[in-house]
Amino acid sequence: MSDDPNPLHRNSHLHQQSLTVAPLYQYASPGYDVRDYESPGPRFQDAATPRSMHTPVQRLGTSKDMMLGTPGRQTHMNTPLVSGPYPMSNVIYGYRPESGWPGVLFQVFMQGPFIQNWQRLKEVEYWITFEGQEVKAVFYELDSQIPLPDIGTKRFVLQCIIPQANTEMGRVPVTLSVQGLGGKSVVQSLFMGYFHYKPNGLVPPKLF
Amino acid sequence: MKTYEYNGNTVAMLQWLEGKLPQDIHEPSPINRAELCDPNSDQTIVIAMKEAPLQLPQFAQYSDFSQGISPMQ
Repeated sequence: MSDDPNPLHRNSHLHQQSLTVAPLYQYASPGYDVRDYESPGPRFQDAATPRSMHTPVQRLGTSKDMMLGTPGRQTHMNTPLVSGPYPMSNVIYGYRPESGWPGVLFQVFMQGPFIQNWQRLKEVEYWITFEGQEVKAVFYELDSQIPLPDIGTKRFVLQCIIPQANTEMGRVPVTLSVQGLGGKSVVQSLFMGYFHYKPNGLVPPKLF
Repeated sequence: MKTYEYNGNTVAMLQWLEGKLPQDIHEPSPINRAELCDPNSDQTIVIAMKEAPLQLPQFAQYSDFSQGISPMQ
């Protein structure tokens, strides 16, 4: 028996032996599922143990998960310089430029089946955020004569003007959000990559 | 690269963007070749002027006095 006089700590050694760790994702079906864990049971519960360990609700593959970036995915038009803590979203084919200053035209090439679903929404709006500075982007659907891997001849392009950021120089994360009718969020903060702000040297930043 | 100046006039900037068809889309590269500057031309392009404050004519009939102040006092 333990010599610990605190009754809350009496069974802590039993927890360490019986705790199981579940895999993070299971892509069998969308939605949420409560897994039948190898639960230590009520006799091992004490007030010092977080409740989430005893009622594990596991998140399964959703459409949002499919939009998140797959580690090691091809980035096609971008260099490794834009890579960040997360992989580029699967919705993003690439973007350009990778560096520049406020006032430069920014283009995002998109891919995948989600784009046409979003375009069917009423009042769909695309917003691109440069580390907290959000700008509205204009959507274009174009056709090209040159087929490319993953996107074929379709070109789904977002265009915006790069906003004034909190920094004049340095890398900032760029994310995409999509809103539907009444500003309702469809998708929020899909990570694209980093954009490197650098000074223009010609235009005072206050003009933007 | 070309720099577009919109003087905080977001509405005009979006209207301009809607009319600017994306260029150099066939084989996308990290640099948009259509956005590179011509050395002989201006790098900064003004696409919108500062938005003037809206002055509606129907409000001109009202005086500058607040309704709580009588000009006779």
